[in-house]
Amino acid sequence: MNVEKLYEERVQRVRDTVALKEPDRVPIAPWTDIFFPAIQVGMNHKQAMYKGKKYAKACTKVYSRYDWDLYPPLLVAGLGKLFDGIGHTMIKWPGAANPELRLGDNQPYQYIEKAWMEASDYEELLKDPTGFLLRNTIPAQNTSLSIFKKFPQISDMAMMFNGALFFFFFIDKDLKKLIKRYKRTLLKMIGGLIGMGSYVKKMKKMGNPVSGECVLGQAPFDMVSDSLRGMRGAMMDMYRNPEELKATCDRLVEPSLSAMETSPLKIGSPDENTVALSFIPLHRGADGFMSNDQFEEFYWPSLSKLMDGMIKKNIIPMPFFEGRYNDRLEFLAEFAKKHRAKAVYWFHDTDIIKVKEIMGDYVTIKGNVPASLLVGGPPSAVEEYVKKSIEGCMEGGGYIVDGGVSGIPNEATHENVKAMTDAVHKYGVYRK
Amino acid sequence: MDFIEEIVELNENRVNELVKERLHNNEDPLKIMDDVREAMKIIGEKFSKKEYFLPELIMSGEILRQVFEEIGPKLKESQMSEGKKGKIVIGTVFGDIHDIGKDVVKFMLDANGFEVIDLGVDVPANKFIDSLKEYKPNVLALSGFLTLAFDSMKEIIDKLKTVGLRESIKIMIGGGTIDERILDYVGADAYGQSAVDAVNIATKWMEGRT
Repeated sequence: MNVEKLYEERVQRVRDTVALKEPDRVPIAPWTDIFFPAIQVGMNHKQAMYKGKKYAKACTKVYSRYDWDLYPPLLVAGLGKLFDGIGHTMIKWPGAANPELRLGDNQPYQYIEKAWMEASDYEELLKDPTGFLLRNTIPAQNTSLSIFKKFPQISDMAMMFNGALFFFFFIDKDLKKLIKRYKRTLLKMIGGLIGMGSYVKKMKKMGNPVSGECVLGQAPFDMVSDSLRGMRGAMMDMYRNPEELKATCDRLVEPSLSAMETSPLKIGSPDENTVALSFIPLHRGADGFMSNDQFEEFYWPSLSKLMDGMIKKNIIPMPFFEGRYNDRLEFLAEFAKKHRAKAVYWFHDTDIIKVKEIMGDYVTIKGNVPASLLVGGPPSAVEEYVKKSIEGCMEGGGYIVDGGVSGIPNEATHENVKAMTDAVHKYGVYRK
Repeated sequence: MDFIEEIVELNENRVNELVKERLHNNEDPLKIMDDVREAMKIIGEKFSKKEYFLPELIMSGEILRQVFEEIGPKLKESQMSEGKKGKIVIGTVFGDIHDIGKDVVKFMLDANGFEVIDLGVDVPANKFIDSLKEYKPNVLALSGFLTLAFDSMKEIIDKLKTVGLRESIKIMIGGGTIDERILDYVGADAYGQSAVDAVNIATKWMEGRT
């Protein structure tokens, strides 16, 4: 088959599935943890974060081994250089320039769980969210941006001659230093950025569609938990400052939607003739983290509002329900019914066959081959799991095969990933 | 509501008032401790029954911290660690710095009368080995959120075999991406999906059941 036709067929297969039409075969569209391709070619985690060009090449080589229908988009290749450049302090990673944030060369990056603001800061945050974040959390979370502490106040801007304040802000010598620093960072990153572009082009030449320009969204409660109050803080706020917490979650929806229009993830030169599934990794909404009543009060309203807004912008939200959501299926089904064929629900450890029964007529399900199988195997057990999932979920379209946790885990073996892929081609056929 | 109920209902201001009142009336701090322990037990039960979740565990932990701050100086260390059911060493395995799951398990084991020694996160094999020698626990609980934890757990357990400590200890594993399929791969004795499972497994082992 010629590659153009192969490419079109694959894209169409995913589009039909998301539209809840039966395609010719169940599609397989895995994402992978970012270190999987690197480990497969013998790079360590540090190299994966610093050798952007080599990393992009590894992705092309490793992904193209598999007969998939949609291939993962690349996160910034050379992520470590970017993090060093902006002085990012929210995660620890291998090779970090700052020794306090440096993990071992064979460790993946990991988030730091902590509070970045106090409960007493809510008042100021809610009065002027942009101003508060700009002057407080953003400089704390990105040391290069400490200049923003001096950013002119809104009230000043409404005054006469307000432009003058910006003049003095922009001629500040710290700003000159910052621009110099960013230029150096960009020069270091160039190889990786070029690599990202050529990844998409090379894959296309082989008939492999790469998932298109996707925006990254977060549940507002998770934004508060991850980046503002820490989980401990956010959960104490449910008792001590419930109104401020809810107001903040709600306040974060509109800016998140506006930000999606200028997503920096466009830099990977995505192909417009493909499918873009926009990833929303969910953290604190899973079963066990909070009760259904708390989920309904604190987590779901702003998340469903965000997804609703995305759909209105013709973006396909792909919430990743990490952990188990067996207790939340009513909420998920209600949203799916209101937005038929407009979203993809990606599950980790929820019973997807039950999900199919409850809401399979309304939403596409993605997942959920367990990480334990993709790492530990054996391939025959992987095959058996995929077969069972396909049999339970394929009817009428609306099922995409992928791994459960972030797709394919870093330590997955080639044999197990191949077994997952082969099983789709063997058992997923609707018609020849 | 009495003191225990106020703790269980997480009325932190009221709890603090009552502690001050009781101390002011020269009550034995040990009696306050007994009540606190009873409240912890009820909170643990509510968590097991899915009436309470993480926000309640975190809030109760915060309330207890405040109570201890008030009465702690009046208590002797020995008075606080009486009559424990068994000893458990817990830690997040090396390579992984996540602690939410581990802390929930620790809370529940503690609430259910176990003595828990927490080695923290990113714990190397040698530190586990040293702590087994030092504390001689009944159970080792390995936590991990990332998939790399599979191999870390395997390596830790392999090393325990090498130094001859594997046979004398029961090992349970759990965490985000862990499931029962990985048990054989890492060579542990049991997998727990939740903190409640951890309590049940440890209790079963302490009662000599396998």
